[in-house]
Amino acid sequence: MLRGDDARGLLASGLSHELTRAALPEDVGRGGRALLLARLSPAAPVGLPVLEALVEVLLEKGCDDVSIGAALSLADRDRGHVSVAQLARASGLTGRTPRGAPYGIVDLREQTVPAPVPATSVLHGRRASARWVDADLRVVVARAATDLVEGFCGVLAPLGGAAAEVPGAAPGDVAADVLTFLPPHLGVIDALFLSDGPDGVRLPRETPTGTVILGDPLLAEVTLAHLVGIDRSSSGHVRAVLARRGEPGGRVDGDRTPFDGVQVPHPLVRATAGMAVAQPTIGRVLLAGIGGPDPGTAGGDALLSAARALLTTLVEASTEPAGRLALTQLLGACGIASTQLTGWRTMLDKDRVPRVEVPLGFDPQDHPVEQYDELPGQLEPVLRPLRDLPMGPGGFRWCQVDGATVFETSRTVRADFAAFVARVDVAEGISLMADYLGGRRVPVGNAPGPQGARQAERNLYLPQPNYLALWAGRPIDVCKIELVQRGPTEHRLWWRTVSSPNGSATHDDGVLTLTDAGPGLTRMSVSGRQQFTLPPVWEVLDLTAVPEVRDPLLEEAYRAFFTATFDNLEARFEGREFRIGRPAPAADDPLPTAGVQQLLELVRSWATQQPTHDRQGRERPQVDADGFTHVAGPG
Amino acid sequence: MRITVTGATGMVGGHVVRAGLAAGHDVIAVRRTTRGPTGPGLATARWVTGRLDDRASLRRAMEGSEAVVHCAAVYAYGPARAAEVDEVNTRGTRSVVEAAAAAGVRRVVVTSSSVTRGSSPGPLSRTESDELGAEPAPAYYLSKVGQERAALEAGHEHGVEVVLALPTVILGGPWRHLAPSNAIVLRYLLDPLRTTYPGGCNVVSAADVATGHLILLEAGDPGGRYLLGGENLTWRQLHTIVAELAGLPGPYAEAPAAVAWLGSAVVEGWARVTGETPLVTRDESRSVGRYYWYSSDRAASLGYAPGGARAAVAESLAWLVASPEVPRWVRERLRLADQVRMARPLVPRELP
Repeated sequence: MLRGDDARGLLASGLSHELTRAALPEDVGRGGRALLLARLSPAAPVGLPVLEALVEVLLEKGCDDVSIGAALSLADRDRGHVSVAQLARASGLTGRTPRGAPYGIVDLREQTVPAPVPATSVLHGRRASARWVDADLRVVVARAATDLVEGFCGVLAPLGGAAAEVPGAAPGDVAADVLTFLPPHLGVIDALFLSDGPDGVRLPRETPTGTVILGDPLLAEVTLAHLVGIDRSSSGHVRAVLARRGEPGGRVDGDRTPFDGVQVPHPLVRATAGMAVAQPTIGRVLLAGIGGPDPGTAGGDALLSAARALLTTLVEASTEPAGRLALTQLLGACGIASTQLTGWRTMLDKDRVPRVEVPLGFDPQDHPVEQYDELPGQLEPVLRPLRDLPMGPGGFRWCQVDGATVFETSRTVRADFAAFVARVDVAEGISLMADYLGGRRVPVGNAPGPQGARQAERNLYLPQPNYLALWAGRPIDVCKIELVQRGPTEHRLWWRTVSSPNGSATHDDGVLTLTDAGPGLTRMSVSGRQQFTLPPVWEVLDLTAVPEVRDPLLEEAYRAFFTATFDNLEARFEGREFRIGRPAPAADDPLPTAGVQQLLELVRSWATQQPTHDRQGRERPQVDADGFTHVAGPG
Repeated sequence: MRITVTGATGMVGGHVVRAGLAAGHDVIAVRRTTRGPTGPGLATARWVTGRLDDRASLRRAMEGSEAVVHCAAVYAYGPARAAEVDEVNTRGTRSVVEAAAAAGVRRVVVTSSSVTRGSSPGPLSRTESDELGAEPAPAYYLSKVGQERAALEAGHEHGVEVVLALPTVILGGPWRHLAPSNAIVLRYLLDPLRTTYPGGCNVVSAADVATGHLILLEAGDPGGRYLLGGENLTWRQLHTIVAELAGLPGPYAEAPAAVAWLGSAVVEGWARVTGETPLVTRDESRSVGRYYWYSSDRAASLGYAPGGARAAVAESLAWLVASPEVPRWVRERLRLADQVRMARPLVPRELP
């Protein structure tokens, strides 16, 4: 970390130090290619002095090709930006530094290659920037800013630009995988002029701090959090990267005294903003409506302009208690609307919930293959209490053990077993279950036999029971190790939960069994142990003390979930569509306000249209723009 | 026996083909186009194309057959399709009988409808000797009366034995287009008020109707009508069975005819806005309050022995819940009885 006024001087000395420490690739010193992944998005793009100084210093260090690359995000498009070239122009980039050093400006998504990442990555099967993958020296550089939702923002957010956008993926997961599998050699946070205030990323302010942070991107990011005085975990990016990689290594050199007089978004504002943007449609409109219109953009539709006038005023005023109260109320109302909309869709309109893309969330190699192979033996005592229970109505029985629900349910269908298992792969069982939002499944090690398989899986389901979504219930998000066994009359999938990234589950272990139930019949059954985390309101209610209420609710929840699960298995066998949800908004999806605006214009045009004929079919006189009435002449 | 079946991709026609194949007949199944699925269990039939407005294609389809079962029809209510209903059901049937005569076919069984025998103001069963009276009669009813007349006249003119099969409300599946009969069950699933109506109907399963057709093919009197029904039920009884099998509450209030008409007007209006086919029409709602009860004794004397209404409703529900007609949010709230689960054999998808 360097402090001073001369960007070039700071970077020259800092880079020499960091490039040595970061084990700079040898090619760089012998004419290698360097790529600076820069955050150019208004309203707080990385400062021109820092970028140009970096270019000059890297050329001086021996690079013969230095380019500045960026990618247009959905948020950029929502704010009216159409190209990286436009962002570059707005940032003052010309392709040549004031000292005459040339550099290229590239759209990182113009040339892509299959992302060279393992199957556990959220980027697996996606594409990555060819320039980023091929660069000899990769540097990510961004302006330090505060953020209404994330608290603060440094070099982790722009990392997503190194890969194609992954609709439905959390930006933090994408950043974590870029950092892990396509890592930059260096992160540079430009805090010469910190853009602080309630939302410095969108409403720029310039507070001089004379600081540049260079080094490992995660360490640089958490150092920034320290300097601006915000808990690092307020940032989803930091949380995701920390969860993946653990504490950053290395040490911080330089003055770590927090910046003086910096304004950051109030925690209450951040909390309500986080609630509001949880629903993607509402989130997009809110974030596009703060600040701007950005230079060089049209300003958006009338609805967005109206939202912008209100939101920008309130966010700007939130530095004062009265303004903060007003903003919190507005964001709170949006948050409630967001929760209720999510709840509505979760319960009654599941085809419109956004699907999700996630990384595996754990390293399958952390679990020796013996742990996979021992799953039947581990789960057998867990499920043993079921043996003594009579089967209840609808083929469901259950009991409580240590606060978890141990259950068994089944359905027999008119389908030949061989035909059934040829079309329904038990290994896919988890992804065939009800309310599946998305996940990832990865084969592990060599199969324990010709008919078996070990696999690791992460899956997300809608909150269970679905109505918990109305109380901000979280999706169930669990990481599992699994064992597949296929025999002549029985196929089984065993699973055990090893972690829950969002803390939504304590237990979710079980077995899905497909059994030959006689000629033309197949039996599907699920036994398991589950314990999910309830929303705070429901935890306070503590229904375990009132079994008269809890039992029917629990039975109904299980009945609904596994009825839909068995329906899905049938649909899979028959080739019918069954998955819930729709893909998350893609990069070219228009902002929702544009659609509403078009509809309003259609209605207005219909309402103002003059009928051309009266009821008797005679042509009506028409009044022109100047007020003259035109009537049909004789004949 | 070699049999040609028209309308073989329809619900009744498909079951007639299946029943014919199961009975060891050589079945020629006629469909309008060469494309599209034939339906589960129908692959072993010989499929040919033929259109009711193309007599030559019908004749080709019937060449070498000893009998024809004419199931092709349009089953729809409402003014929007009235002309099509009349054209297909009346003129199309005449074409079939004429083509059968030209192909040297001895006997034609025509699928008509019990509605041609009218309805009663009270809970009385009607027989083949009753006729459609002055009660409200949607265009579909009149088309079926016209169909019977056209079939008998053409048979008389061309020396073909025509036997008329008069099924009642046919429930079951599979189907490609939801017909008004299964829509009766669907409407109850979708009705949040769980309403029922005065009056009643007779319900029968599609498979039983198909078996009845084969019986008539072999033993029906030429020129005779045979009601192919199942069980006579009030609407409340029918809705109670639906509720029990689907695990739903009700039925509760009984909506009088005027309310039913008003409700169907709203449904039709909304369908016009959305461009979808209405689930019920004012035309159809005019039958509310009357009893469409029938006796199948004449067919029973030939060996026709249908199953109960509960089995027919179970089949209908089993196919409905696997169709896109039942929205996910409705399907997830059903608690289907085991009888429903076992009523439908699953249809395996094609493997790549």
